[in-house]
Amino acid sequence: MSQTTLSGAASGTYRCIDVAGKGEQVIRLKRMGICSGRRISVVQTGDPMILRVVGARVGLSRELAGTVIVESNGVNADRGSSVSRNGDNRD
Amino acid sequence: MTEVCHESDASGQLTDPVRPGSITVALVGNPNTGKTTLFNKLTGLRARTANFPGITVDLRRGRVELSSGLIDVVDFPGLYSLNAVSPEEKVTASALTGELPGMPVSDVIVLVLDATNLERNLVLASEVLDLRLPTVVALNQFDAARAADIKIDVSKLSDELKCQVVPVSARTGEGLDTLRAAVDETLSGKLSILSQDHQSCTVGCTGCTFAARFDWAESVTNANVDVPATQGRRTDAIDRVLTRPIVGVVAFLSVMLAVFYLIFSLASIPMDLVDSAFGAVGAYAERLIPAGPVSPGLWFGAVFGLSMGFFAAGYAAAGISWSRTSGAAAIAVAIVVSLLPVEDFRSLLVDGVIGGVGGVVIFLPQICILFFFISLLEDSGYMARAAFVMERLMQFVGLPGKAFVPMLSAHACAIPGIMAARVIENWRDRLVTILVLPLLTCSARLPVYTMIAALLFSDSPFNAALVFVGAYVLGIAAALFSAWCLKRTILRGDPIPLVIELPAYRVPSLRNAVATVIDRGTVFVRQAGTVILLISVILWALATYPKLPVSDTAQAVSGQSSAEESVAQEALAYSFAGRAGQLVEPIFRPLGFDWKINVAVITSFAAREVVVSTLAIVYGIGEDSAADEATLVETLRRQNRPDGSPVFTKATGFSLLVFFVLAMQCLPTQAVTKRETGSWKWAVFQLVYMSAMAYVAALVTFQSCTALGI
Repeated sequence: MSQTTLSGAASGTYRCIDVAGKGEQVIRLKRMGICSGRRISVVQTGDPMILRVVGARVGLSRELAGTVIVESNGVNADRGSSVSRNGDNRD
Repeated sequence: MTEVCHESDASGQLTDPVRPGSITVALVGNPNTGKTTLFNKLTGLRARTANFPGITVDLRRGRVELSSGLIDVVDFPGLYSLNAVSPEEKVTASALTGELPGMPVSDVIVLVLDATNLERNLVLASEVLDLRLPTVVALNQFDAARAADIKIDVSKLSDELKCQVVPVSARTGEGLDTLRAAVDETLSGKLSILSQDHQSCTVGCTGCTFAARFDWAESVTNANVDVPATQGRRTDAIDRVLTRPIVGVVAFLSVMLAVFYLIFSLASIPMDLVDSAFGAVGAYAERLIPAGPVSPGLWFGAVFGLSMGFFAAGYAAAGISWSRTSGAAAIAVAIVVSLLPVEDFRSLLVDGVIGGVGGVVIFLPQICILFFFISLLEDSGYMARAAFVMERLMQFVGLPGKAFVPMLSAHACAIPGIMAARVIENWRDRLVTILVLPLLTCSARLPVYTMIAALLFSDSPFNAALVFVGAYVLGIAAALFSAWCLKRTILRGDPIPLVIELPAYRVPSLRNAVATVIDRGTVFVRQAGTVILLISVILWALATYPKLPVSDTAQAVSGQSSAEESVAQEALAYSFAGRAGQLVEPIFRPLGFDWKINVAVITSFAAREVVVSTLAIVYGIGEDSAADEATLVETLRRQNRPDGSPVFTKATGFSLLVFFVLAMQCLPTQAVTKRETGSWKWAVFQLVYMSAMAYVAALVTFQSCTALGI
C-alpha cells in the first residue's frame, strides 16, 4: 500500500489519492475520471501512457501523470508483457 | 434568457440568433457519445451551421417535426464537464447557463448518454441535471450495449435521475419516436420534472465536487447497470498495435498516405470538371454579350438588373443584411458597372466574376474529399490515436499531437487544414497552428514550382526533382520554425500536456461524413467565396485600368508581329498593376525581380497560381500559352534586363521559388483564417509575417547565390 505518482507506475491497478497539479490541468484530469477515489489501471506505460479509468481508455502525458498520486492496490497488479516491451518501467 | 435579438452587429453581419418565441431543443453530451449521429438522424441532412456573434464556434441547427409543431434542434459541442476548457466547451456550458449572448436557454435539454459507458457519462449528467432545466435523457448506442451484454434497468435509472430516460440507437433509428414523444411531453409540461433533488451527494460537499460526482455516478451505475468483464477487449487488442510508439506512427503515416493518394487521385476529376465548366460558362457569357451596338437604355437596364442580382446573391451568401449603406453600395456599383463600355463589361464578367468564382470553386473538391475522410477517421475513433502517437514528436515545436492532422491536411490545401485545427482544445495552440499552416506546400503551389523547376533545370529531371523536394522541406521547416518562434514570443505558453480519451473503435457513419462535407463545403463557399469575388473584381480593375490610350494601342500593334499578345502586354504595363510593379521595383530589385515579375507578384496576391498566367501576359506570350509550359519557359529564359544580362538567372529562379514557398498569396486562406480566429487581426498578421519572411528569405537567397556566382 505504498503511495507513488502515476508517472513511474507499472502496469496494474491503482487507487487515485489526489491530483497535485494546479489550475486548468487539474480540471482536465478530474473530468476524465483521474480524480481521488477512482480506480486507475495502467494499460500501457511510456510517454504518453494509456490508462483505463471509469470505463474508458485515456491517453496521458508523463508530465501530468507526475501530478497524480496513487496507491497500489496490491491486487490485480498485472505485470504483463506490455511493460517489458516498452522498457519504460522506471520507478 | 430574455436577451433581445440584434438585427446585426457592428460589422453588418447578420447575427442569426434564435428567433424569439421559437422553441429550441439542445443536444448536449460527452464527446464520442454519438450525439452528432443522433442530431443528423433527427434533422436529416438539411441542418445548417449557424453563426453567433462574438464566438467562432459553429453550432449546427436543424428542424424536427413534433406533434406540437416544428422545433429547432441545436447540436452543441461535446463536453466532459460544465467546467469548460476549450472554446467549444465554453460555448456549450455558457449556453446551458444562459450566459451566451443572443441565445436564450433552450426549452428542453436532450442529454445524450452513451449506454456502453454510462458511469463516465453520468458525471456530466449530474452537472446538467443540477441546472434543473427540463431534461430528457437519450440513452444512445443502446443496441451496442445490448450486443455487449450490458444490462441497464431503464425505469430504475429514470427514477434515480428524476427525468425521462429513453433508450435509443441513432445508428438504427431505434427509439427515436419515443424520444420525440418524450421531448413533446416535456415541452407541454405534462411531466413533473426535477421537482426534487435528483441526488444529494454534491450538496454540502466541501471536498472535490468531481470526486463526489464520480462517487455518485459509480453508485448509480452499480445499482442499475450490469457490465460484463469482457467489455472493451476488442479496442484493447487493436490499440496494442496502433498506439505503440513506432508502429503507431508508421501505421498513422500509412493511413494518411492512403488518404492523400485518394484525395489527389479523386479530386483531379471534379477539379478538371470545375475548370472546364467555368471555362465553358465564360465562353458562353462572352458569346451572349452582343458585339455590335445595342440600345443604351436596354443595355443599362439589363446590366443593372444582373449586377443587382449578383449583389443579392452575394449578400445572402455572406449573411449581409440590406441596410441603407449596403443597399446604396450595391446600387452605386451596379450603376458604374452598367455604364462600362461593352468590351470592359465583357472582360469584367468573364475574367473578373466568372474567373474569380471559378478560382474559389476549384478548391471545393479537395476540401470536400479531405473532410469526408477526416470525418470517417474521427468517427471510427482513430483520430484520437493519431493525436496520441504524434504527441511526443509535436511537442518538440511546442504544439500538441492534435495539430498534426491539420498540418498534414494543409499539404493538400491550407483551408481544410485551418478548419480542422478546431480539434485543438487550447486556443493559443490552435491559433499558432492556424498561423503557420499556409507555409506548408499546398497543391496550388505546384504549377509555380513546376514552372520554376523547368526554368532552373529543364535539362536535368533529377535536379528539377530536387527543387521540388527542397521546396517542400523549406515549407515544413518554415512552418515548424514559425510555430516554435510564435510559442516563444507573442503566443507564449507552455505546451499543454496531453489528456485525451481514446474512445472505443466503431464503424464510422457515412451519413455523418456526408453531413460534415456539406457543412464545411457550404461554410467555405459562403464565407470565403464572397470575399474572394470582391477582391478578384478589384484585382481585375487594377490590371485593366487605366486603359491604354488608343494611339498607343496602334503603335504597339504596328511594332510587333503578334498583335493581340503585345496589346495585352502593353495594356497590363499601363494599368495600375503594371505601374505598381514599376513603382516597387527598387524594393524587389535586391531579390533579383524585375518590374514584370513584380506585376506577377501583385496579381497573384489573391491566388498564387495566377503568377504563371501573369508572367505569360507580361512577357508578351499571351495568357493562353501559359498552359504550354515549354513556350513559356523558353520565352522567360530569353528575357534580358536593360543592361543585356538575362533576367532569369539561377539566382533569380531560386529567389522566386523561395518567395513563393513562403509568401501568403492566397486570399481564400485569409478569409478562412479570419473566420476561424474571429477577427481580421490574425489574418493580417499572417499576411504580414509571411510576406516579411518571404522577402527576407528571397533576399538572402538571391544575394548569397549572386555572391557565390550561381
